[in-house]
Amino acid sequence: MGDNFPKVTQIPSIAKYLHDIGITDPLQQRIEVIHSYIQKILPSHIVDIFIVEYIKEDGMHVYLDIDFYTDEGVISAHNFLTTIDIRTAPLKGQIVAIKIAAIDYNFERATNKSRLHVVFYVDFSEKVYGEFKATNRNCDYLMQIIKKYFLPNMKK
Amino acid sequence: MEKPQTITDYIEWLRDDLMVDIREQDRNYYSLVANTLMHEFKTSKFWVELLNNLRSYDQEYQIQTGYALFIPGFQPEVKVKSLKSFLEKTFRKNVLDNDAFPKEPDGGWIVPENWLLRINDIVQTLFVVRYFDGVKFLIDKIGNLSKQHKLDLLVDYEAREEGYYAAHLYVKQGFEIPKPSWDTKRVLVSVELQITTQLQEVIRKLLHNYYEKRRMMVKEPIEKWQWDYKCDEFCTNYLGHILHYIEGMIMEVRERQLGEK
Repeated sequence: MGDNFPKVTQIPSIAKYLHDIGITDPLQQRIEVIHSYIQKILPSHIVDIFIVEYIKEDGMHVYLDIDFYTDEGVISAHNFLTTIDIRTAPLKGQIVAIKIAAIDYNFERATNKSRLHVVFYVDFSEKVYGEFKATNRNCDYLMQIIKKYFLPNMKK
Repeated sequence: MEKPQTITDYIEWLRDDLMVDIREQDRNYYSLVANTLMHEFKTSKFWVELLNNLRSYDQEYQIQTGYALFIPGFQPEVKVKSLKSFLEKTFRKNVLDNDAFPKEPDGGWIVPENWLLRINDIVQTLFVVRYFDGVKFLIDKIGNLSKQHKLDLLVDYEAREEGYYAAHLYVKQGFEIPKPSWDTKRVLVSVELQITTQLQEVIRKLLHNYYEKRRMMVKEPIEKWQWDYKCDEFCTNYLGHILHYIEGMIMEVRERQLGEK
């Protein structure tokens, strides 16, 4: 690509995350493409990433969105496999409510049956919100994201 | 010399005319060799890497198309051809499809001395992809992998008059197999990797017995199946063709939707 910024998929903690949730080379290359666009639009130091994914009733694994977390906020790429649809938002003190729904998950260690659905709201009318879905080991990572970036940013 | 009409006739013909007597020990030896080939293939670097790559292929296809390559949870199963099917195949090649009979077919008679080399699907496996274009996608991936492993690969896009559509890939590998003397020898054997679509697989299962029966027919019926709407072939064969056409149309719609995005 010829760009100077480091590859996000090679940051050790992120590389481990991608490995743990079964993200292979072609998807990692796609993540780097999205990351390169983000760096061009909004140069940022990426600390964490999270992939929103779920398993459909027929068993098909769907990778929906990818979120890049910085110290200031989050940059999301929706339907990142096939489209370029990037949005950004600050997180500081913005969250008014969080709903967490779990299936076969004890909030400590996910199994292959674990599913997690988290919705957060940035106003009390519940009109502005974001949502996360995670399966298997990704549930553990989603909880880490919620604890690190969302719970500390609840509106006082 | 009369042309054998059934598999029983064929086994007798093998014994009387080619001096090939299929005895119990030959049956056991076939089973031993076939299972050894299967085991060697399943533990080969090529196969292990191919299995490991399936998730990556699936994700790459999803990036390109927005759809999954495989049906969820798909894992290919490696199987060996039964001795019965094996003998039937040699029957077809030696007799039924041999226009020169009673003379030997092109390449000579298929007999125990050469049949491991001449029959290319003793070990076989099947990949089921969701969409028409997944067949070509997977062929390219397997082609690249076989090149990396320096293995010869032959690709055959089967499109039969009987409405059978699938890609058959033959990957040639060297295997260590037991000799009847309990020593071992190294042989180059082809393994068959079939790739078909989910829809074709459904019809394939429905029609499997029919295909097998038809392939063992010595004489073609006088009236062509295409003109006999009451015969089994009419419905089943055209169903295969129609499904293939529908799968092409599904691709057309899918690509149109992708273009509209």
